[in-house]
Amino acid sequence: MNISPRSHIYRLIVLLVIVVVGFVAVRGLAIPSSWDSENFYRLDSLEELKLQPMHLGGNESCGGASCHDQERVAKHKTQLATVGRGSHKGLACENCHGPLSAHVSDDKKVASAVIDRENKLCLNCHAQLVSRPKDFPQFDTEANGHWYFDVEITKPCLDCHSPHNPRQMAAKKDKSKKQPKATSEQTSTNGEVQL
Amino acid sequence: MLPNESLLNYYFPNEAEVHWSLMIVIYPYITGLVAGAFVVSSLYHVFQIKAFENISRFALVAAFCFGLFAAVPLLMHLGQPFRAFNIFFTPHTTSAMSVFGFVYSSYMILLMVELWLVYREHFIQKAKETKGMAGWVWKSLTLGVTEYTPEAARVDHKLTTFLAALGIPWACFLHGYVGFIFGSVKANAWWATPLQPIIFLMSAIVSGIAMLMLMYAFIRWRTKKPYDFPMIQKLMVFLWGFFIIDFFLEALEIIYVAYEHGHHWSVIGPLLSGPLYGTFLIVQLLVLSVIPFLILGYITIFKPWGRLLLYLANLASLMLVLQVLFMRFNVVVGGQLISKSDRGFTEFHWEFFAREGVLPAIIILSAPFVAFYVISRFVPILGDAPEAKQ
Ligand code: HEC
Ligand code: HEC
Ligand code: HEC
Repeated sequence: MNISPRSHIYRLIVLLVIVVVGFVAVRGLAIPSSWDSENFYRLDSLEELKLQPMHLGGNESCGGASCHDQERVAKHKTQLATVGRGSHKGLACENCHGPLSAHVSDDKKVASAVIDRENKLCLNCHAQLVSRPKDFPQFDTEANGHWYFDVEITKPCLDCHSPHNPRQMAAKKDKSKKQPKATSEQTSTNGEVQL
Repeated sequence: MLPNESLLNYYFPNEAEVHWSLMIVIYPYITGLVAGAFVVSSLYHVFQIKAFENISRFALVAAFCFGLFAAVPLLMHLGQPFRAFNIFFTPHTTSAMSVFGFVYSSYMILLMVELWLVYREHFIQKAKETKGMAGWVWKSLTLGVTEYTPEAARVDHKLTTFLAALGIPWACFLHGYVGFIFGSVKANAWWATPLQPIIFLMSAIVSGIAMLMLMYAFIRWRTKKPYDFPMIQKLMVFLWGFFIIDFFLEALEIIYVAYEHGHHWSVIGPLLSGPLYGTFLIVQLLVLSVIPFLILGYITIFKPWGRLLLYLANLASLMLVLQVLFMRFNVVVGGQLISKSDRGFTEFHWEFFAREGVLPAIIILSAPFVAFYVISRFVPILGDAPEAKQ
């Protein structure tokens, strides 16, 4: 049999053409029909996102904005007011207590909201990082209050700080000898002690 | 608390983690080995450097093996590896990475075609000898053309030379591109320089040549075959040449920024005297550069022979392979140590077992060698004697 010395090249070219055509075909199938090549996203995704179940409710929902049972959220309103007074006023309750959907669904309480007393919770936002501005409060053993009380990073933050209004002493809690004594002017109405 | 430890209403850059981790360190490293090994094979095919005749095929196979795994670190790094194909299907022209996908895959195709031409004679011979399933595999590799005529060999030779010639700019493009990806990040003082692609390219060639030397010496030692000393000597001369360009470009870049004392220096100065002092200045620029530079200079000028040449060449190659690995680390991780707020430096935390830890990095880095071993079971890679003509 006498074959052309280039026949293998021709076959290779055919193979490469098949690969390219295959790629184009798979690409055609893989690109979603609602793909918008101007803005580079799938237009249908907007509708799909709307259908996703809601997880977060925002701080209003903690105040019972959509609750029928206003009695049971009374305590939350106090907390909301406390948070609103202090430096944590910009925070979302759900940062520390988990998403609303894990707590309430269909206007019914399904589980208690999470309460996390670990230091990690606070250090998520208050650990020292260079990217945080100098004037943002970051945990520092040398800071006045901490230095005075020998606070280490492992010491429970909640022993002293109220999570809802961290400038205030946590209510109740152990009375270690070094804890500052509250004077009458410093004691606020809700039993928390002004530091 | 919230899914993925996310936070609401809180927006300072969170730099507790360096996001481009070890995987992004070894990705340009492996890509560099591809480009470097390919250049060696082209030195013979295109530039007719006869000394490399015996290793040109070996260099090609090695380049292919590294190429197979060049994208694996990226897949490991992606949180959603199954979406990797999206950059091929809907590439955006403003994304450097999506164009890289095409550069890389076209380069791999070029490499495979060249390898196929080089090994066609072997495939045909095997297809004739082997029966059964294996025979069919060999046959499919020949694409059904089971005659190897002298005319066809001439055609192959021409095409191989053409592909090797095309491959050089393409390999430069491939690796220059990796440098481009970093060099074009204008917000990062440590990366943003138009020299970055050239520096990456030169260090790629250095690491590729050095790695070939180590592999060659290892294979020869394991198989108890004689060493091709003229080739080693020549290879080291080239290694020296490329390394000089690489090293001085890199040093020039630093000296330039230091002398200019512009706004970049206010970040780079503290970076070099702080977090990168050990890994960049001491290890990369001093120990792993000056010593191999002197060794290679000695080899080039005084032309030692025999055992001495072998030991010196291996020592220098080993140091340069590490030098380039350190360079990748210092660029990729070093750049990210600069806080995005420019207020100072963050820290890199080493991990071992994690998805992007040291262990996966070691596994991925050794995969090309395993692939090489497997391939070498099926096709001849290095000739038997140094003089053997294939
Ligand atoms: C910085 C984190 C943080 C934020 C923000 C936060 N909480 Fe809390 N909350 C806590 C912690 C910690 C406790 C548990 C305190 C303890 O028992 O020592 C708690 C306890 C509570 C309790 C139970 C109190 C009790 O006495 O049993 C309620 C109710 C509550 N939070 C509501 C809210 C509401 C409503 C918001 C939003 C306005 C909010 N929290 C925001 C951390 C937070
Ligand atoms: C989601 C992030 C976040 C978490 C979690 C968080 N904080 Fe804060 N914290 C803030 C912000 C924001 C401020 C206000 C900073 C400012 O005023 O610039 C703040 C302020 C403070 C202050 C300074 C009060 C002042 O007025 O100077 C203290 C003390 C504090 N937090 C303690 C805590 C403790 C203790 C916890 C853990 C129970 C905690 N924080 C958890 C974000 C957080
Ligand atoms: C022994 C009690 C105590 C403990 C435990 C404690 N702190 Fe404090 N902290 C204080 C006092 C007192 C201050 C000073 C308040 C002031 O200056 O008004 C303070 C101040 C702060 C400040 C504000 C610094 C500033 O610049 O205003 C931050 C942030 C803070 N603490 C975080 C924490 C975190 C996080 C923890 C847990 C790891 C913690 N603290 C544990 C007592 C404590």
